[in-house]
Amino acid sequence: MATSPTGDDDAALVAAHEALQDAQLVGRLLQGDTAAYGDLVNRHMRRAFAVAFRILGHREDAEDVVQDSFIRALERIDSLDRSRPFRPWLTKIIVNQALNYRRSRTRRVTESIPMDARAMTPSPENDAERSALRDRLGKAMATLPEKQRTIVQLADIEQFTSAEIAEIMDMADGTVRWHLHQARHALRSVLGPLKEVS
Amino acid sequence: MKENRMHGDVPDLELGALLRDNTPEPPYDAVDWLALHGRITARARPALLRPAPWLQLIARWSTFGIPATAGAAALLVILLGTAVMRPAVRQPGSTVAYSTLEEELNASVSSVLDASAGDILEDMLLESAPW
Repeated sequence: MATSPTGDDDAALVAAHEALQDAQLVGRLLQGDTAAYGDLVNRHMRRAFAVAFRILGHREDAEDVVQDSFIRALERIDSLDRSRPFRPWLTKIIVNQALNYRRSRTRRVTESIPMDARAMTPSPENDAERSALRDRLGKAMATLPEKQRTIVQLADIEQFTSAEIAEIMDMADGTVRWHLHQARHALRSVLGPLKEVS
Repeated sequence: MKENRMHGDVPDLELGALLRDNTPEPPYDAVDWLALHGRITARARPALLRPAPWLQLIARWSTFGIPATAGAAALLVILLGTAVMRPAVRQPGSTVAYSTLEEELNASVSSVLDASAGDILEDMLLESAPW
């Protein structure tokens, strides 16, 4: 989340502009412009992959979910309320697909999300202290129920608003805020004082 | 506001920043984005080439609706044609009544005419007699 009102305004403007472009592409797609679908995929593919990967912790599974989600989105494009933004609607499909995929995945051995994944590319952050913090964060996140973990990821990492998460998770806004409060409280309890950990 | 704060409406900036900074980025570099895009659009092609719902409706109507309408029209023409060609069915009672009435009228008119003509002729002969 942005920390200043100006930052909030800028982020809101960017989001509004992106939503407008999405709406135009959806409009073109509904009129039979097949290239608009490719453009929509191009615009949202990376973020879709990030959401799926954070839920599944497995690259190939996340790619499969991204594929399935875009196909499902196309099949359901008529059900999209065009007065609402496209991204939360698509994210809802991705989250549902990823959660279903994870529940049905029984035999496949899954990789846990490596907390030092950034270290795959050379970085000065790759030190022991950082690694220990990530390890603690990873363990703290793992203690959360699936629903709360997903809500925290959507709120604090993907930076959706509670209203958007409510739409994505098919919950009341108040319920989302309650889960978010509970999850943050639990994380703080596990991590201890944040000044110490950071 | 207090209620909202209690229920997580206000972002926990400190924890949020910590999570963002320390949650690993997904392995973007390991994904072949061009290939993924290609796979998605290839799978979507059949659905994309399918006509719009309103066009499908028209297509469905043209498949079944046009032959059905043409068949119904042909049937209607045949039925109407048969009705025109067929002689009118007359009720026997009404025919008899009609003929009887016609004959009766003719007979009455003739008798009246005959009687009048005879009287006029007789009057003329009597007037022209020398006596």
